[in-house]
Amino acid sequence: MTDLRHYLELRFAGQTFLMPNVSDISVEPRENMQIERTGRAAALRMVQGDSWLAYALGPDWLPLPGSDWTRAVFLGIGASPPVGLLVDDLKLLPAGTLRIEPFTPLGPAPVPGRHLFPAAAVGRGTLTLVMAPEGLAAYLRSLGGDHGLGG
Amino acid sequence: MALADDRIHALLLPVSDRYLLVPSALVAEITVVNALTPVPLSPPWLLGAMAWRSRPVALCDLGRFWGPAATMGPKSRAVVFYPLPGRLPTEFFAVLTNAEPQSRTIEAPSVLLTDEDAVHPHLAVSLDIDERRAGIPDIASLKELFYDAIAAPGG
Repeated sequence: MTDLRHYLELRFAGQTFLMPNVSDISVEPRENMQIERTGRAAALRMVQGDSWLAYALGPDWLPLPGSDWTRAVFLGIGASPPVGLLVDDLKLLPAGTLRIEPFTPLGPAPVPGRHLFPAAAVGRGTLTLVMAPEGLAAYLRSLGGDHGLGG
Repeated sequence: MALADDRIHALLLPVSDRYLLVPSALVAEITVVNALTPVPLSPPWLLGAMAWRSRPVALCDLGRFWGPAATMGPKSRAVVFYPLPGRLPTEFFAVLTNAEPQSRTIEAPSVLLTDEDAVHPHLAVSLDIDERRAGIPDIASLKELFYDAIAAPGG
């Protein structure tokens, strides 16, 4: 049977990750975003009076004030409010082209109760970590909502 | 004090400034590390994830708990362990060694417990084997170190 699922391949800070393309994800191009300069978030999107914060992450996954991001990937659409990850590049990959295997990161979870990488795509000697959307959203929210605009 | 009991087939893993003594039955394979993918937001002893037999395996530097941090070199090896008791059957993990592990048949008279007091973190006991300082890993302690009590899927 054909596997109709897809994964997003996300590139930022020189790293590549995969994430299941689940229904509560929304991708916005940079031109739809406002540049946020005063808080830990690097950009935001105003939606019906709500500010959706988006974070640029460095190689250590700490927030950066900015980067060469081209898109914001918002997680938890329908939650209040969604939270975004800024990425340099993004591709959609059919699940059938990937070999996804379960993975248990060792050590304490970065967000209480949630590991960020529950799986990995394994190729010929290569490995790409798969991010859990809920775990990633929880981590981004843990970075704090101080976006400096008083919203 | 001499260890009681029979002989066991074991491996001596050169890790940091000593050896880890582990039963051979715990080890699935000894392999080279071709490529390592960093795992963001992980503790410093988790070196990354590597592909092994088409599955992702976490590679640990246990030696940093009792010596200097590991450096990866041409002689380095990854010793892939079977999942710990009570964990999921997919939860293999690997330990980085300085060099190829050595096979030993351990007999009670050849092993002496040292007087090094309850030793180091994650070691159950310290030993002298053929005049080499060694330690036996504390499995319960490693389970606590490795697996987040709330987040780990294997419980």
